[in-house]
Amino acid sequence: MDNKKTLVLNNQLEEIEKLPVLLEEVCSQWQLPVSVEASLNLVLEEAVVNVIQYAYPEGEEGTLTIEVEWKAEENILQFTLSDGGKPFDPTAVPDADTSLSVEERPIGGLGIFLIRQMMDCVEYRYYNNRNTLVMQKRITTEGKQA
Amino acid sequence: MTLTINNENNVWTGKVTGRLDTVSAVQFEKEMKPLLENADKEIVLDCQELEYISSSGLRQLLALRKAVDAKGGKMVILHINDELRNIFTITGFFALFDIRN
Repeated sequence: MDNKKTLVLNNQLEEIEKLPVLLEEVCSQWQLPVSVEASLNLVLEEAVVNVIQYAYPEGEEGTLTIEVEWKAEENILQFTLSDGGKPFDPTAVPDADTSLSVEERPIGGLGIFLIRQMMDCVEYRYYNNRNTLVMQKRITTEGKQA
Repeated sequence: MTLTINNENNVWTGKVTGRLDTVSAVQFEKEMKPLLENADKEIVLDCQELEYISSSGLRQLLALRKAVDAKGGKMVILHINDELRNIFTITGFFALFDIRN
């Protein structure tokens, strides 16, 4: 069975509407629990929006590629995002301080924090002039122990 | 995403439905203006039919919360689903809002 899917998006915000569709396909094709869809949608949206908003100079067209792979033996769902924009390591951004009060709490800075919290492993590499973000989530499927 | 705002006896209720993602958060920001303008009063955000929220949506809720604090009003969030509850917990938002069922 095919265990990989690829989606190419343009650097336009409206493209994020394709993410829930992709995840629905992923979950049904590989029989993953529907309960993970929403949190994976959140993770993908945060990562993709980051690229759409910051990777390419304003007004310049660019693309990003999402590769989804289900590693059935390890129960790991892996997303690999890559783009040809300027080098940016989201894993180097410090964690948001979630203990601050309403007045102190900055508006923003939560996207990358959410990715880290929701995923089991997040790794960034820059090679061949491309940003590559690999994110893994261990998923327990029915009748199988993770 | 839809946001419907009602004013009854000076309690301003905003009912949010659907998906509050990065795209619809821009629309939400515009449409929540009446709530910001009345942030000195009682604001209720009914999230019974809010299915999904991303950090852009959370930012809007925080902006509203900050306005309410600055103007001396009150803000309550009603009926968030389990997924949203999880996100509110992870981000520490749970402690910033008055969340009720």
